[in-house]
Amino acid sequence: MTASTPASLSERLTALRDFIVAKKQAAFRRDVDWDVALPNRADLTTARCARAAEGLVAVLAEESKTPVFLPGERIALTRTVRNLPSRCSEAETAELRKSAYLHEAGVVFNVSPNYAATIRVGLDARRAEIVERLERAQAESDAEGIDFLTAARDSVDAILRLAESYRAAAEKAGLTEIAATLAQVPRRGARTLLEAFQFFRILHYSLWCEGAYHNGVGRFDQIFAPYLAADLAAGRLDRDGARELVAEFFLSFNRDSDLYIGVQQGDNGQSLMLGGCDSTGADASNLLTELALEACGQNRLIDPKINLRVSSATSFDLLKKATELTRLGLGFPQYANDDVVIPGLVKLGYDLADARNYTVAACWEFVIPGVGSDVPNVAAVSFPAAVDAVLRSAEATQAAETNDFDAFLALFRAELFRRADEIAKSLERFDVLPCPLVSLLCDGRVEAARDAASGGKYVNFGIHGTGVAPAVDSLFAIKRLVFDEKLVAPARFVEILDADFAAERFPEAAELLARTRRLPKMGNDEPEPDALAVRVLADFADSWEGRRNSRGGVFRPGTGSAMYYLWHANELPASPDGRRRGEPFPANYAPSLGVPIRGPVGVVASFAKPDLTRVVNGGPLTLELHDSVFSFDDGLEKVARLVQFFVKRGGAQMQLNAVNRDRLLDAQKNPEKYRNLIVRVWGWSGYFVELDRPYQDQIIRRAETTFPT
Amino acid sequence: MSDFPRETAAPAVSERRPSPVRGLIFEVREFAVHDGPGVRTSVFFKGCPLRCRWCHNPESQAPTPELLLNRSRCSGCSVCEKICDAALSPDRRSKCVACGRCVDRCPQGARNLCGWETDVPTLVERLLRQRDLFELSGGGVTLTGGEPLFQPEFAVELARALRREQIHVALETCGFASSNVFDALTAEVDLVYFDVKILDPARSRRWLGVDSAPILANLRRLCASGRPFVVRTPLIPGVNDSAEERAAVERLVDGVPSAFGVEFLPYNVAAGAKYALLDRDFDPDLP
Repeated sequence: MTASTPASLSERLTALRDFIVAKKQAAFRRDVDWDVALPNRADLTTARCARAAEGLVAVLAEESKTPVFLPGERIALTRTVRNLPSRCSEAETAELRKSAYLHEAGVVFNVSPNYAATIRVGLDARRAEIVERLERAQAESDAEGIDFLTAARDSVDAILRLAESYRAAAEKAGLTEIAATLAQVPRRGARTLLEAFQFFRILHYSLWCEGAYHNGVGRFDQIFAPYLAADLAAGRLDRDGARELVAEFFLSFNRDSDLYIGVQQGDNGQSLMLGGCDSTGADASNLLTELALEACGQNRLIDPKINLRVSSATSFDLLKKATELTRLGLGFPQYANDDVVIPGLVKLGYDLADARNYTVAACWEFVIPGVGSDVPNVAAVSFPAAVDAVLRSAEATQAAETNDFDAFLALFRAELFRRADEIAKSLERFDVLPCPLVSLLCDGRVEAARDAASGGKYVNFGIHGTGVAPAVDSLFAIKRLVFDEKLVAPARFVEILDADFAAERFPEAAELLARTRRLPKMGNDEPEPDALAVRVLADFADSWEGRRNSRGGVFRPGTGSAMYYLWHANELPASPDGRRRGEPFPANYAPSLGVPIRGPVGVVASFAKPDLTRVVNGGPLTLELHDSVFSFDDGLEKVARLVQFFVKRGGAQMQLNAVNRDRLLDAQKNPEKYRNLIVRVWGWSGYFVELDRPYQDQIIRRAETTFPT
Repeated sequence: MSDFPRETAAPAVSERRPSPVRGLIFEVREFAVHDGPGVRTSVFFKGCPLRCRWCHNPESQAPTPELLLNRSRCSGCSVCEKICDAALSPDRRSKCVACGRCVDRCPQGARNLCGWETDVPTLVERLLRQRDLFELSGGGVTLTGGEPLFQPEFAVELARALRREQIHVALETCGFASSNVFDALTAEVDLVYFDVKILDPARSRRWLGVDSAPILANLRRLCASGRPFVVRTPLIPGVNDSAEERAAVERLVDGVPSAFGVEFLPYNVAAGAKYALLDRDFDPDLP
């Protein structure tokens, strides 16, 4: 692998980056009064797709009025309309939610569209395909099909009009390269890498304008490899020129991202995947894989968020290159292990070729580009809450009296099944509003004449699992202190937990707290707690196996927490592992906060023990490394070895972060000095100073346990 | 050593065979990336013959278990005082016998027992759990401290047992020991990190509390042995960081084929942080 990474961006891109970081493009933004612009909305019951399309068409029409070019850019398109029309009125939303469960915003989101197919053939060809199918639908009087296909056609037309307005404006402004690019795409298929990037930019931007959010980027190095190859063969690009173009493309993800707010600023789902294998299982990493890692290191911005597929076959050189980004403190790449994820997806019923093509949706949920209409974050189970519920039961007291910890574990298993029943029932009347443009980018939807909202090849539901480690630590504490040592009875323990271990009310509370905190915890490669972890996740997998959802799909349990690590923790009093009331859980799949952990090796070893192929919805093992680990030359290599160890031991997904607690504390006090300090939150990187305080505080607590100590 | 509560005893692992040799260690640290090639686990021996004025691991000095008390975590709940009069007394160091009874009672996790006895089979079993990582990274185990030479029988047996298992063993040492002990241990390891701090005997006594002569004699034996080694010198401002002193250290191993250079380490600005845990004052008295 040639190591020709220049230390910095070109002068042109440095200026463009500075412009974007200073948010100067925000000066072009304006608000639109959508009540005035969209006085008569399509009927929500009979023309759901038309309702979606009219919003997109209106937004793009507004955008067409004000083309904007940032200084020096080669890839155009910048949002100028700050606010988007809402899909439904409040009354309509309330009405919808009365009769069905609408997830989050209630629209198709969190999928990985198949951009590649459309970039290859162009929108004229896609339009012809739609029109041809529409004629059939009309002949068949297929009202739903007509609604969808008309909306898809109108969406395409709106995009073409927008692109044409940009082309004309570029020509007028003397921006001949942009004008030439837009003369080809999106109308016709891309021929060069620049055209392909511009085409992607238009599609991705339009998805947001449709109201779809958390739009994943997909397998970047696979989508764009053919165009790079063509440019290299024709002599249009060399390696350095290609990297510069990739860097500019990545910059474009940061232009409008402040308008794409999830639960927190930065939670915008602009995640991309690198590496992995092709449909035959052969290593598919290529030059673009490297260039993407390098360009990302040059930009040092939070978007796009980088994921890297690795396996026992991944070259050590590639791992070292990836670790460079960890060293920079960007909070990525996030690693996914093909050796575990692919077999896991196959077990869930994905075709092998599809499983081999997996990527992530917004954060870390595994989906298949183009064919995955899964809802990978539909609900979450709190493991600590299940432990808490069992401890409170009369059966737990009985089990303690007969000193039968296996009976206690059986109760825990039953509790997980009960919670699965409850969640599955709450999702029986699942409904989702269509996104015709997203659907156009999903395989086979035009031919089916149906929006992705009504189905697709994979329509599975992902279930997060929050607080694995606190639950395991709690179960172990119960085993040791309630069953083995009989220090406290279940009912008494519950009272003490409800009182947050108040020593003034319970004489034994102080000792109990001291004892439980010092017990072995998950994350030290200790047989006893780890055996419980294996059991908890096996029970979780069992509790969902064989269930079908209302759309005909299966349920996919996983080890991710998303933002539930705060929400679920707030729902509980203190817990048996010694967590006090108000203290958060670890994010995703990680040791409990503040527990004694010897190092990252034991963490990887412990967290790789459960059969992760059965809980493969996604959810990274998260480790914080102290940034001093990189202060020696070979620190990089050693961290890369840790990734190899994770692969070898059968980990599924891992997130390594280089942090410095002192710097985080200083940033809380002096945010103005740390505008660009990047941290990993729960599956995405964001700017530390833009996060709400509870999220900042949790990251600081995580940083208390960094390695090496 | 972080100030998080840690287990006071080694994990309960049944011994595979009885071993008469026991050692006192105070930490097994994974992913010790600065202690030799590859990814390593470092075993910290408790007890050291030196008393370097700037020592940043004061808990490593005494060859007996000690109670660490993080007074900033103490909530004043006085649970510990009900168990032991010495628990919070200002002169607890002279009274505390490090029985550890208070440790498991402190709800704040402010108390930790530093140092536990173990035997070779138990420790080796623990270390071998990560054999695959050592193999894929070219890493191994580093014996450090404190001072491994201060517990020579245990150190020799541990190194032998590990190398019997094809684990790479490095030794980090201050070099202060009799030549017999020094030879016996260095013969059992693959790589030595040899600390050279001060050459002049009188200044050595002033700053390290011991004469430099035995240290330098052992360094000469190491040079002659052909065993691979690296010299490490922590640079202490105003004490040993002059250009002349550095050059003198470099000359010690100049032309020695088995010497893999001299590493000069910057002074640890957080050096005094752990003294408070022992109720000791940090007073390096640097010029």
